[in-house]
Amino acid sequence: MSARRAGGPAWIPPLVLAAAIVAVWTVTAALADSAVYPGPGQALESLRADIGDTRFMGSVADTARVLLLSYAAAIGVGAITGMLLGLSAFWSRAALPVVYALNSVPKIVLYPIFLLFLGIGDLSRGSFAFVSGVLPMFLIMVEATAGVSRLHLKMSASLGMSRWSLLRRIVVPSVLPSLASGMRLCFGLTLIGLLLAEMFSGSSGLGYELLRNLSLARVENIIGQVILIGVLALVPTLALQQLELRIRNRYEVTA
Amino acid sequence: MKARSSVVPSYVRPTPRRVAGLPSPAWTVVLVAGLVVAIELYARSGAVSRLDLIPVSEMVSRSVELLGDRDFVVGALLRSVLLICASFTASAVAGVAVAYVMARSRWVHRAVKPYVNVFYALPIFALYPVMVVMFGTGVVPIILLATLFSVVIVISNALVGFESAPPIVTKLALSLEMSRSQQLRKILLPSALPDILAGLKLGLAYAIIAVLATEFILATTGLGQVVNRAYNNFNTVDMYAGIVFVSVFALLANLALGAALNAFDWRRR
Amino acid sequence: MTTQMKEKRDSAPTAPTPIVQLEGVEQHFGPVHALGPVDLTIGRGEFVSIVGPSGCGKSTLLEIIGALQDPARGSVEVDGAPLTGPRRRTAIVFQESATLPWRTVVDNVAFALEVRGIGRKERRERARELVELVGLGGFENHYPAQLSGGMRQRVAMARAMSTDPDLILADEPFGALDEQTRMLMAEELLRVVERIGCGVLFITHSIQESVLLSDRVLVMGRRPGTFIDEVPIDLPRPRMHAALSEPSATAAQERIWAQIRAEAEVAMVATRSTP
Repeated sequence: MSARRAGGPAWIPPLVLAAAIVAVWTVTAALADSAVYPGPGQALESLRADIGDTRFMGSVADTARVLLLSYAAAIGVGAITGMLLGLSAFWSRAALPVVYALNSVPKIVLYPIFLLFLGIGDLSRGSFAFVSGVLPMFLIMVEATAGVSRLHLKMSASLGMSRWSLLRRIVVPSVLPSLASGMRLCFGLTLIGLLLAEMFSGSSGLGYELLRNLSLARVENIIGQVILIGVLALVPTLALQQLELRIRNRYEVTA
Repeated sequence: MKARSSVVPSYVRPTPRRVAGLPSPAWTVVLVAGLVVAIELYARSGAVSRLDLIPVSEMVSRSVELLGDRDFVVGALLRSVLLICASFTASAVAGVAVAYVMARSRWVHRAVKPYVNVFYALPIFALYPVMVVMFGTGVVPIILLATLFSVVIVISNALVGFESAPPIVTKLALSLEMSRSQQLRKILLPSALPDILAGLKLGLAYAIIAVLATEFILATTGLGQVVNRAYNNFNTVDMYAGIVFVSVFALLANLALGAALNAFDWRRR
Repeated sequence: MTTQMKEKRDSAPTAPTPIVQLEGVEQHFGPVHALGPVDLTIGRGEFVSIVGPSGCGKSTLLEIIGALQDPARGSVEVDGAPLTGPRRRTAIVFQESATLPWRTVVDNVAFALEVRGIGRKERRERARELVELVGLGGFENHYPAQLSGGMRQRVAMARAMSTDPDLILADEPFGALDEQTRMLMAEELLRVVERIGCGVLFITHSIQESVLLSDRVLVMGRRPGTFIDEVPIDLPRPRMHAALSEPSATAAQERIWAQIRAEAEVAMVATRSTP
């Protein structure tokens, strides 16, 4: 009711904004009439050509495969180790400053080290993507575990609960909302890590395709691929957002 | 500490102040020192080629040497610092302004918020090649990308701040019949300040990451490019020196801004 | 069993083996002397309240008896034996937010039984009875977020009763509720406690509440908390809210307030440094 009175359904303003941007893009591109500034039509046209190309689709599949593996590893390792450290307030306090410092370093400059030790290939690219995702996941889970309600801990203690029982019945349900938002955040970060790695040392993959087209000066292909990457990133993110919403509704401590 | 044994389940006992006689900050130091020593010994043991890893002591002494190198300081360090400052300033000003407009206009808020929410899920660095084609390999694409990458975190934090002004304070402003600019200066900005500062800290970290990453991927010079070039020339010593330099630089810059901004934060007084 | 307890309550407040016996209990947090030395005896089936200014160490004392804190000094005996850990028959009632938001009302009430390894069917059955008993029938499958504060507190009370306690420790259980709900919940607690006949240690900052509920009110002075007065409450049971206006009840309230006032005034100035 109130949403309608204040200017229609919620999805109209963002759509109007997007349409305006596309319109400005189309008009300016037509006016500029430049080889380095193609309009949306040309970009989509070349994207369609790319999608019909088996070599390009192979690149997409490579990126998807490595991304999926490194993402799953980052979530699993980050969540479990983070929870274990978070259980000990003393060791969290001792170790967290180091991890926060490590996380604030622009990780991409560490990438050559991965190349030296793991060689050029899926292994080094995947490992780098893993590291890009695992550190934030770890930090989120340490904080979440340390933030488990003190009252719930006392209540459990008064029932004489064992550590394992506590972990299963109190800690895991308490950190689920953070786990869900960590999963959403880390997807984007893992993807960025992977694309950067592919841009720097790819022989295949979406990041490699971007730089290949850059050296061939095919701007419309680059823009088309950027659109594709955007869509590929958005779909899982929106799905993870829905998951997070559901979990928060049920598990979040509101009182 | 106590002679008698505890009757309390371990997970609700108070956190010990010391473990093995050391407080937690001392253990942080032990942890870092242990890592450094382990790498140093591993590099010196001969189990690893000098082309892959050098002792930490050499990394550090070489990166200190770099500070005396005019080409490095002017061509790479100074340039990167200027790029970071330019993009950070741009995103700080633009970010707070956009957040203010969003807080004021319901329509703008609804139009922009969904994009802000998903922005960091998008690999924004994919736009860098586009910008390079349009603007060449100079400073423009780097500043553009770094500003874009850091402005959104400033927006989302500042927005939280503007929206967190307690309703009672807004009612107070109405009852005092304050003008819009008075409301901004006397109520909105001060109450949003802690969140804006938090956004600015993150904004700097993001600007540093973006500048170094773009320089690393493709640029003619700059800190990131120093590491890239050393790697491609098989100059392992310079590569590690560059990495150490960049890491320490990023850490110090973030710490310095954090300390400077905390001085303005009324929540920390 | 219930009648047995009643008899004890009627005959003498201090029966041969008291349920709780503390001697010289003290607590220190680093350099801060938080509590004691305190001596305290609670008889079986006796209802004892502790009132005092905030930060005086009331909760600390309760947590020591509940094995949630180790005392720095002194001896703690519950049911005639030194405390070795959380006791099966001691139940602690915390503030309302101690309900688990991801569990339904029934599963929250059954939680203590679940931890003790009682089978799913049996514990649910018993939980349903208790839910009915505290007046939440029909809300079995609701989540805490769907309930009011008072209803959540009923859930916590039902959980505390599920393990057949002989001692209930209540740490300002109604602190987050509004005045009317508090009074209703207090009457509810009395009804339940009289039914199972257990000893109760009740921490509160509400003088009214303490007089309405207790056999005995202990007044604790500001930090380091020690007892500065002991006020017996001789009102007939079962009690209802109206009992508060009887002369002996108003006299007790006046006496407690007079004791606490001076302490509270000093504590108010010093409150900034308390945790």
